Amino acid sequence: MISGVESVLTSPERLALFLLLGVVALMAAWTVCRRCALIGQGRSVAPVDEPSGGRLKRFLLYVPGQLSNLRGVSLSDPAGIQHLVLFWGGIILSLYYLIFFIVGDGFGVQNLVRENFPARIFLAVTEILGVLLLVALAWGVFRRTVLRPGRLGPDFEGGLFLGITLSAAVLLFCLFSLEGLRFTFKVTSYAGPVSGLLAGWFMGISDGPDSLASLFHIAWWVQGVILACFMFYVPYSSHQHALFAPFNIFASSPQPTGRLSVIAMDDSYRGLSGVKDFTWKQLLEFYGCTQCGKCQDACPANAAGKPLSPKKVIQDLRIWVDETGNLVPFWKGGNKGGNGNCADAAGRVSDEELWSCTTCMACVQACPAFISSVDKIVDLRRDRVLSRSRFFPELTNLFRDLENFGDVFGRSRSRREDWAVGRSVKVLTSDNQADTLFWVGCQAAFHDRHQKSATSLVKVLRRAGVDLAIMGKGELCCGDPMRRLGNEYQYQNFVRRNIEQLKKLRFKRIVTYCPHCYNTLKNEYPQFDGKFEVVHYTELLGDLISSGKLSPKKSEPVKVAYHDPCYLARGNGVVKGREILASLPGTTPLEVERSGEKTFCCGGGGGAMWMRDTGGAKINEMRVKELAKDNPGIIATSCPYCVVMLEDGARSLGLENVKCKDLIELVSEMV
Amino acid sequence: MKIGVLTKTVGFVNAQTGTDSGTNYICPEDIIRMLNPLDEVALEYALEIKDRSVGVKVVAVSLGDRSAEEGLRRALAMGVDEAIHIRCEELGQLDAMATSALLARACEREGFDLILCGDTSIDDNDGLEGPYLAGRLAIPHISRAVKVSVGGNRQLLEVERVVERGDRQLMQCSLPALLTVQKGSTVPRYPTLAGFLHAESSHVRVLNPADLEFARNVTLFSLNTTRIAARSNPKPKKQRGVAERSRLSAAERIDLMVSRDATKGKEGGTIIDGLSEEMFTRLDDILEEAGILKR
Amino acid sequence: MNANKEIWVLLEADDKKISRQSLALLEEGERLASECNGQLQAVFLGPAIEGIGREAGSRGAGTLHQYVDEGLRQYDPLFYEQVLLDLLKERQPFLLLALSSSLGADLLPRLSFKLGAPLVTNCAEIEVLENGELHFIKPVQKGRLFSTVQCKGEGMRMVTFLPERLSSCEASRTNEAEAELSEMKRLAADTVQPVRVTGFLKADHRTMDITEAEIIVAIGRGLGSKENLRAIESFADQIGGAIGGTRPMVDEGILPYERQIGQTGKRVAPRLIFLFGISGATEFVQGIAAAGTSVAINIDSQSPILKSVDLGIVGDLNVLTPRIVQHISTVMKRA
Ligand SMILES: Cc1cc2nc3c(=O)[nH]c(=O)nc-3n(C[C@H](O)[C@H](O)[C@H](O)COP(=O)(O)OP(=O)(O)OC[C@H]3O[C@@H](n4cnc5c(N)ncnc54)[C@H](O)[C@@H]3O)c2cc1C
Ligand code: SF4
Ligand code: SF4
Repeated sequence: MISGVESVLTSPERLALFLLLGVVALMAAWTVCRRCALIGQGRSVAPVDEPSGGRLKRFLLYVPGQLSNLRGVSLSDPAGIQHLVLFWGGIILSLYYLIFFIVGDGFGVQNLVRENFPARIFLAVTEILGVLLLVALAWGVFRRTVLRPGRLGPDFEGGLFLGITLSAAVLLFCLFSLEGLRFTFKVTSYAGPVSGLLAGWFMGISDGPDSLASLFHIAWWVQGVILACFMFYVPYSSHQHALFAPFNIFASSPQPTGRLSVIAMDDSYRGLSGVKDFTWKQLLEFYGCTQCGKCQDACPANAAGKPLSPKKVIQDLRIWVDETGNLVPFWKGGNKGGNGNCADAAGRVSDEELWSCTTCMACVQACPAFISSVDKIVDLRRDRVLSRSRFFPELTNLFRDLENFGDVFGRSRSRREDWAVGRSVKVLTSDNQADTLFWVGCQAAFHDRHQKSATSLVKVLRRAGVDLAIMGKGELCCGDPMRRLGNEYQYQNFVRRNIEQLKKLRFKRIVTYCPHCYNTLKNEYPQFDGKFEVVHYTELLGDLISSGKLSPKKSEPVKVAYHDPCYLARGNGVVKGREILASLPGTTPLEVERSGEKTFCCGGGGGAMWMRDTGGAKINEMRVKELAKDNPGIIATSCPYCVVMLEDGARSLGLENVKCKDLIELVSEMV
Repeated sequence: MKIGVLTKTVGFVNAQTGTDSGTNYICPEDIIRMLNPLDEVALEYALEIKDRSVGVKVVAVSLGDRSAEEGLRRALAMGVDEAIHIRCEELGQLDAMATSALLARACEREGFDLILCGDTSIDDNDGLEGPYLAGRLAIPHISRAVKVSVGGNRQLLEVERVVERGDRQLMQCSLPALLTVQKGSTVPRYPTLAGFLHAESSHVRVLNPADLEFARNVTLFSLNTTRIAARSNPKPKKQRGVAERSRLSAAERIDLMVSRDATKGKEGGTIIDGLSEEMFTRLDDILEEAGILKR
Repeated sequence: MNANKEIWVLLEADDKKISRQSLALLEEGERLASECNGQLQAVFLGPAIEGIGREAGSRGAGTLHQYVDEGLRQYDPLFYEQVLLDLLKERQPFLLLALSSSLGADLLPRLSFKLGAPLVTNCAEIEVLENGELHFIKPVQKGRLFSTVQCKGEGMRMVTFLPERLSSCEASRTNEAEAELSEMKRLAADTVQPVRVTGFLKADHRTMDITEAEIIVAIGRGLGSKENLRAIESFADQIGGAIGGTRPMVDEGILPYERQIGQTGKRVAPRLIFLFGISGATEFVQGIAAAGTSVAINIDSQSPILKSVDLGIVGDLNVLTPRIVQHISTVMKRA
């Protein structure tokens, strides 16, 4: 009888395999080290204060807890569960190979590592997970060959995928066989659930020992070689996310989604022009990307067929970084001497891609690995605007209007309070004060469609006894369009002037009409030392209604579909609008497919308002179709951009009996 | 080659939101300080020449009070090499005959091969600065230039001059010369951040009238040939082609159009029924006024 | 005060005729002459024009100074300058009136400088005061304000007058007088000029950039379908207008993006714009804020665009346009 693994495997052959494994492991480690070194060369990012407990909690929830993958699970898309199995399977299997293969076989200490109770439990768990893994792998093949979800396209490393899946399956079979054989050979006293079954079957084979010994040999070698291949391959593939994503999740500080980074004017950094301009965090993100395509699925521009996929942006940039670091493997064409010079950035992501983004942040929200495409897109825009002055000519008009007149319509600040003429709205100056400062914003101040909303808002808040005032001619554009369009210089000029003005005035809080003003005042002004209490009018209105200070009267029964603005719901988690709607007597809020924090963009953000259409379908029309599904009488929202976009979409679709209204218009009709 | 560009910082009256008739209802916020749009176009033409060839230096020259510096900084941001500010607080009281005298001294000293400026400025709408300066410097002048190229060993200028309806006259002149420009389809470049920052920190050379041998402003005043006696709000056109209810000035009509502010009780033009006799006569009038129909 | 009180009007030709605006300017000159007891004279350089003496004379011009040369089909700055300089120096009129055209706005500053005579450009109105002094009223600040300008000194003064502020009342004209023709001194042809005219490029309204167009025909969703574009095109051809449109026209593929006007398109500044089937959304109006005269056709009498245009026509553009085209071609044939 065979008494130990030594009698099946000769020492030279063990040496040979473990040498091979050792060399490959070193090579892999080298690649990973070079990646890490590359990441280390990234620009530094300002540290964000976060209690370490918060970090740990996020890490635990999202890495071992797989929260972001599980959140998206539905009957039609159970991929999250598959990922959970792969994740835990991967971890347990790695441990298994480390303990029982490398240590056990490598050093010939199987007895030591196996013959104890915890090891047995571990082995049992490994085998059960192994079976689940096989199911998960099979489902993966089915998904990719039959279901083919679009988000995995267009260039996922698909050819390799089948090979990898097959190898993984073979690996698992090897594992089961080897475990079974060990039990058969009596080198171990325990067999797991699957290997036990196999062992029973092996013992029944007549010319047992010899053929089983060869089987052991073969399985043992196959296992070793597959492991070596994996080790070689993983650091070059999207599977490297297994290494990097956890770190990225750990390093991701919870900044407000709608906040963009600051460019210091005295810094040489002027947006993303070369690989040297990435921060280490951004580089880490590239390697944390799983290429799952969830961002692409969520992207409204992509859905409308515009030339933008956030996943492709991330991938194109990653390849660029790889080329710079000479990290492109030979099977992907090898290093073509790509360099990180300036001329390159523009060649990596086209103008049309860049300017198609509405900065709706759906991609950020969808990403399981805490990766943001928006910050890269905006950084690329910054490079084009700040360093190359290369953008659509219609934006020159916008920038000039802003600089000369201080608003997006080129109407000038002296006309800012025209809408309020004759309505005796208090104007804040240095010698009076008010409880609430109404930040009107360009849209409400100048666009005839929204001027009415501004008046309604004043009327309603007054009715509720709010001590309200405006800044009058002292207000300038909040700067949001400039920032999203990459014109950080003028943005900061505006912010500075606005903060200076705001600090001269006495008020307790700011209420805004526009979610874009809200987002930048609340999340971005603090970056420039402008800390104010900022609320959106829907928040204020919600409070006033629930505290009974406002009681909307009953009106004509009407069905209303509510569209959550990205910059409120997704960017800032403000979903009060829907609640207010529900509390209005007579109105029936309709279910909307994508709503609340998971809302879908109207197509107007990120400067899209001032740019040509980059092709494909219209985002606003897509959204209107979705909202109008149940024949609402009114499509309501609480953002001037959304109102314009949805109204425009409804008109192009010829939906004459649907009205688009701002929530405040509805409320003001009822009080 | 040295190109001088005259850049004026205008105080453009963009609105009249005041209440005092004595100031024509203009309050301080209504006045927008900006680089005269056509001068910005002139800068673009000059910088294009600079981009196309080597050894070209572009200098922006501005005459005016402290605010003139703003326009010069913009010019620096766009990429001019140097900026000269001729300090003159009384710009408002000088006409083009007088200001061109100051500018001429400065330009002579600089020895420009080519001088560019906008055809008119949006504030005073005169269009005289360029031709008078050319006269004082005794150099050729071409107006309404929309395309400029320097040829013939930098001795010759080829210019497209836009006349009515977008037709172009092709012109040639010798250098040095002065061109006053029109917009054409040019979109002046938007400065880069480096440009803006450079402009913030650059030195603007300041000259005083005394530096240009104008001992006292009195001498300048005596050069004036015209005097502004009053400023008033627009007078309605005498009506013929345009319907009689269209009493709005261009600016008022734009205000109305853009703000659609019907609260102020102003009304636009006549609204008539299609296919009525009146429609044809009114159309004929408008087309005739535009020089399309000849009767 | 200048003794002779001669008021001179510089005439321009348009297609072998004295241009309509020039005639209107003559009428303005006639008014001034009568108000300040002066006498009207006309000046013309260019190819021979039939009946020019009657045209000028019937509007009160006693003399027409002319320089007839078939080679003078285009304005040549230095040539005009020299010819007129000699004459003006010799005759010293009290006032020289010209149009604010590409000719007048170029020529008068030259003359004004050489003669040291005050010049007021882009004038909208001239007032004759009790004492015979003139007040020139001109739009400034893009027409938001008007300045009243006085000229210093006693000598000659010059004005360029805005064509759009002139109005002609030729219908009531009965005077059949003929102006006396006076030939100007010929210029030696061989002088080498530092500024030369070397050619002429006719603009093609079909291909020109809409930002440069002086006349634009803008279309909107009221057009309906693409077939209806044909009538619009013939209208545009007739009046030499460039076609532009609203964003829906571009979205529907009726116009290319280059022809889109508005917030996300181009900003245009034509002298005359036709707005056919356009509702006047803020995003569109942003693009036409610098336009001059505007005419709209809209089927809906309540459409906001009609409130702010100079002439609003209520009707179906697809019915009206062919009729207008027909009408214009009859008028043109008659002329
Ligand atoms: C972000 C954004 C940016 C935009 N940017 C621009 C832009 O740059 N430029 C732009 O133009 N638009 C822009 N728009 C679209 C703009 O809001 C309007 O939707 C658009 O200008 C309306 O075009 P319209 O007037 O042709 O169509 P409509 O508003 O539908 O008006 C059609 C008009 O034609 C009239 N009509 C119908 N039939 C006839 C007929 N047979 N005869 C005569 N009249 C008829 C109707 O009464 C109506 O007034 C933008 C919209 C958004 C949301
Ligand atoms: S921000 Fe929105 S539009 Fe931009 S890439 Fe992400 S999902 Fe797409
Ligand atoms: S960026 Fe995030 S969502 Fe997009 S493919 Fe990568 S991992 Fe998936």
